[in-house]
Amino acid sequence: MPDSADTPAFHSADFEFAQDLLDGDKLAWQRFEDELKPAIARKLAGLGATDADADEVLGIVMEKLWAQKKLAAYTGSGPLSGFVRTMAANAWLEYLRKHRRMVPATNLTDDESEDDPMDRLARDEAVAPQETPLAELLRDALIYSLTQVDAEALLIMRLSLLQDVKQRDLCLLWGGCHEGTISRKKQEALEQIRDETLAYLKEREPTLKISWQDLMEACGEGADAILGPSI
Amino acid sequence: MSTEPEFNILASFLRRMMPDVEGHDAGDPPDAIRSRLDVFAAGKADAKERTSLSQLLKEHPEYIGYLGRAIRGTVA
Repeated sequence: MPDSADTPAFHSADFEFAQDLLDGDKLAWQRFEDELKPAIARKLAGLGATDADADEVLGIVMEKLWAQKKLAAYTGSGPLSGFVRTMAANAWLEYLRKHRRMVPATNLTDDESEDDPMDRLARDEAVAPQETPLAELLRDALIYSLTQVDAEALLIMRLSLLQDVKQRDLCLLWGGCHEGTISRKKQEALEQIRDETLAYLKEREPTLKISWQDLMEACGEGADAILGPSI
Repeated sequence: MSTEPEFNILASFLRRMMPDVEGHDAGDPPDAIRSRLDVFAAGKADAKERTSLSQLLKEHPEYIGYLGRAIRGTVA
């Protein structure tokens, strides 16, 4: 993994904005009303929330940010707007579950087990201490997708992107194939991951209309919102 | 769809969720596997062996770190 992926850019202006909000600065609050609340509302609408649902979920988000002091978890590792949008997506998911607007859990991952996969994940000792339902769902979906990806394509992608093995060296390892073949394999692997992940999410949470872009945001700049700050 | 940044985002996320899922090193593999990985790293594995090892590494991503080092050491 390249260092750049482990050390995202620090969004100093957004971090200061968050600190001003935490300090109760009136101008910051006004800016929150003008910029971030509409961003949250748009996010919820995009996820399929009605206006009434969105109002209720927005209240939950506000409670999380202020009363539960979740905003203090923002580290500036991504845009603040991404942080609050991801928190909104997470709150929306919790809201859907609370109101039982979901299909029964499927057994995509383990046909033999009668356990709810979410319950199994909740018992997993490896999970992050601040893990929340959205994080669990995304992890479950991504891990499922990895089981579906072509093994050679996945290996090529992992060697290339995580182990910094050069493309021309991969060509040598794969019988002297053309570099274009390696590139296509990597692209195919990511497309399989995308398609299988989204299919899994659609199956598990049909009301949560999450796009690949949403998922990238949640796993990237929004990760702190659902996992807490990275160590 | 940009392969590298998107995969890195997913890998970072999974690393925070499950430290072993994306090929974090777990020490050297058992001898029998290590010798197969060494042959592969030397570019001497045929298509059938590549397929077999790919499946093995899909099930045991913790060995990928060893393979990566072996490749870099062999083909540099």
